[in-house]
Amino acid sequence: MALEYERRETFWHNLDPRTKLIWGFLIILQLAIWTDPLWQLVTLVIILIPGIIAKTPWRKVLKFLKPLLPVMLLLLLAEAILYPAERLNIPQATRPLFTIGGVKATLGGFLFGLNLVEKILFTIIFTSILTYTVPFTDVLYIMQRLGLPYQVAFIMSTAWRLIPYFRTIYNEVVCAQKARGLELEKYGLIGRIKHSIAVLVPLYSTALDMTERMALAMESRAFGASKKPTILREFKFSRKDYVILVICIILMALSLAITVIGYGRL
Amino acid sequence: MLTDYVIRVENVTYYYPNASKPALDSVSFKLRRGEILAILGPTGAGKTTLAYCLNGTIPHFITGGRLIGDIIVCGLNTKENPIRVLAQKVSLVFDDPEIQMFGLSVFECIAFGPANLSLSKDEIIRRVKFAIEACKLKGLEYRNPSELSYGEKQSVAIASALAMTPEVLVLDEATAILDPTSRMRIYNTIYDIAKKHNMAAILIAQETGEVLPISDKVIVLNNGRIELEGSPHEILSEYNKLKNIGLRIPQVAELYYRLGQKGIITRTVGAPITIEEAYKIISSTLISRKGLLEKYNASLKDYSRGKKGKGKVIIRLENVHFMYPKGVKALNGVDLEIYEGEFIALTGPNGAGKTTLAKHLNGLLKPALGKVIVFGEDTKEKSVSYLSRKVGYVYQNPDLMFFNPTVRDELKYGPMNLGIPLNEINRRIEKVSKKLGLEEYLDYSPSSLPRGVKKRVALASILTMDPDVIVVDEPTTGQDWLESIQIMNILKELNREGKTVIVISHDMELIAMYANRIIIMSYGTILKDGSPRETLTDIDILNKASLRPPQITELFIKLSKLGMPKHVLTVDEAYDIMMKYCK
Repeated sequence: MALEYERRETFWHNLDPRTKLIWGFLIILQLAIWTDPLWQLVTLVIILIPGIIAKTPWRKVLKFLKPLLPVMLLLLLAEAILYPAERLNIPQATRPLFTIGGVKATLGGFLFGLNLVEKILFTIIFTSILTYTVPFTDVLYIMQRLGLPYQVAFIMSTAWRLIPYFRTIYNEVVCAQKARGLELEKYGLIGRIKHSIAVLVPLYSTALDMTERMALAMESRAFGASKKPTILREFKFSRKDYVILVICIILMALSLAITVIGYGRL
Repeated sequence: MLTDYVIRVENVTYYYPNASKPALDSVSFKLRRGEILAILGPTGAGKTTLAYCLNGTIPHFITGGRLIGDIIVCGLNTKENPIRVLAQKVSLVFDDPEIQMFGLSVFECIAFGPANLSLSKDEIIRRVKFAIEACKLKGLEYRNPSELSYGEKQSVAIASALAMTPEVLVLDEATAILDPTSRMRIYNTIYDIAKKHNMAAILIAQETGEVLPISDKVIVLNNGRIELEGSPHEILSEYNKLKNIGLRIPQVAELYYRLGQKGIITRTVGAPITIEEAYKIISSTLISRKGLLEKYNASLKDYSRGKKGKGKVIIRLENVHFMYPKGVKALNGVDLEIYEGEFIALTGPNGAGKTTLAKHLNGLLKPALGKVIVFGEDTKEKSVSYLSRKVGYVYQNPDLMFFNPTVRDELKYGPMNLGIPLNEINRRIEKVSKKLGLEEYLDYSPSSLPRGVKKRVALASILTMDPDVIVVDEPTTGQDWLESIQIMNILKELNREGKTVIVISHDMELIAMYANRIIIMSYGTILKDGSPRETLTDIDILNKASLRPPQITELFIKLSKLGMPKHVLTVDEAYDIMMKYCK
């Protein structure tokens, strides 16, 4: 997502990762059952409060969202025009909002589009806060407790760690070939694919060579010596966690109740 | 007692799969607890193969070869025990830290091994603490390994090997990429661990000058055989043999041998391995000839070989700043003029910004602030491909550029991109391959070649583009002494033919021998820029840049108290001075 994990001393960072995942479930629940864009603003508040406590670098999040805005606008417009507003059970759903080239946009369609846009944007924001406050390995440890085999967890964490490494190697290979006069920009699509060999071959051979040496290094650290290696990470709920958990559970129940009563949906 | 030895290698011969020649040939040795053994030898001598035999990589991981003889590690025969059992006795550290760190924090990386053994949590934490203490990594426990410097990464790799609480720690070229200060720090760490915790260590390295002082025993391998064996002093006394094998001989030992041959000093105690020992020997010689001391006029003018500033300026950097995406400042206001025909060495610690600076010279990187003018043109306005006709850049790792089926195609690729006519390309290939001794390899696959040849192919593939300036990033890293000398001689010859050569290196002894201008960088700025004599004798600046002067320079700075000139750069100079003085 937009953010990488950063180790910080904030109230939210210090919570147990499981608590933060429960918070995530609360948000997913609300985003899933509510379709009313106004009610979704409540979700936004529940997203933002921990985000602010965790001192989220909002600028980076905004930078990530910015290129999405035109797409969102297009989505909003399309829904406003195309969505069958008569299906919605709100007053004035079919009231025309504006017309473009003879095509009518409805209020209902607009609201539904707004709801979709909010769902997408809020999902990005809350997952960014999650990735910023929960280290990836903790997620793996939790999944391991839930039955994910150690080998799978290890492969995932190693792959995760190697992403930046391979990005560096890729950049280096591109530079090395540029220094030999390679100009991919010069070619059309076909030429570009053809000339990419100069980058792909060294990249793959380096990666292959690396896997072998890495396997050797793993063996040298007794990887696979035991079926059940020690899991070092210990999770412990503190009083703070219980408070947040209770709040989350109450909010979940409340959201469901509100929906059953008949609010929150278009 | 039998268990006295942690390692017993008994008449071991090993053939790799499908090999007709053995990689190891009747090798035997023993190692005790607390001993440090240095294994020296040129590329391809069998050093890494031997290391692989010690922890069972051979025969359990690399299968299909033929292993004759026995290797007993703490009473366990490697043939009968799997790597994971042997890994608790012999712990290997490789040259590339990236491939041996498993975890998203330093703590996790170090705990990886013990966790694999299913040890209790308390025991793992105890071991990690011990390893962090021993490798001086306190305060970095929760850092992401990708944020660490190269030296710190390698320390983490060593710590994770230590956390296995092995009886023997094996470092296979583990310090090759490090700058001199980081390297010394690692060797000191190993020494402390070995002596304090009575652990045996095996050091496989090319840097004889740094390894020998902390070693108890030395084995010199050549073509898979043990050529020499003994204490560091004994080994260094075999000057001619070492020279024949092509081993790097510490400068003080070389001077000692050459002076001894002329009868200037009496060779009694064995060759010196440290500057202190050499100082003792030479100063006593000087003092015995005290009457001559005043006569010697400490002037070194006749040794100057610089021609700095003679040619015209071909590259100019004006207040260049550069920052990497993550906000790491790599260049911080660099001003520099490069003259035609210079042989420049760009030096400094790991992460000083040397490579970043060099990548500005052909436009691979464009300055965030400031200007780079190459042959009168601003690099911001030109493509890398255009600039590569003027400035060639040879990458440190040749594997990152090879993708063609043969060396010939590899040499063809650059000039083809520049649109050079085919007959001209063929002419260049012929000329360049002849000069670099690559004729016999032209039809080989580049990736199958030995490391030293690969380096030359990489250089050749840039030379066929016929640039005026050649930038070579770390030409000698990972190379043995003969290969290093060979590639530096090629660069020297190119320089003599009129090419401007810029070398990135922190091998101070080599650059003292070849460069006519040295630029010392640290933290993205130029600390000092001048002739080798000015730069390499400025101890304060070198310290600031985590560098050390050549051994011989350091020796003569000490001797300058006795009236010797202190700006001595090479063994040849030192020898001439001593000869003149003592005649």
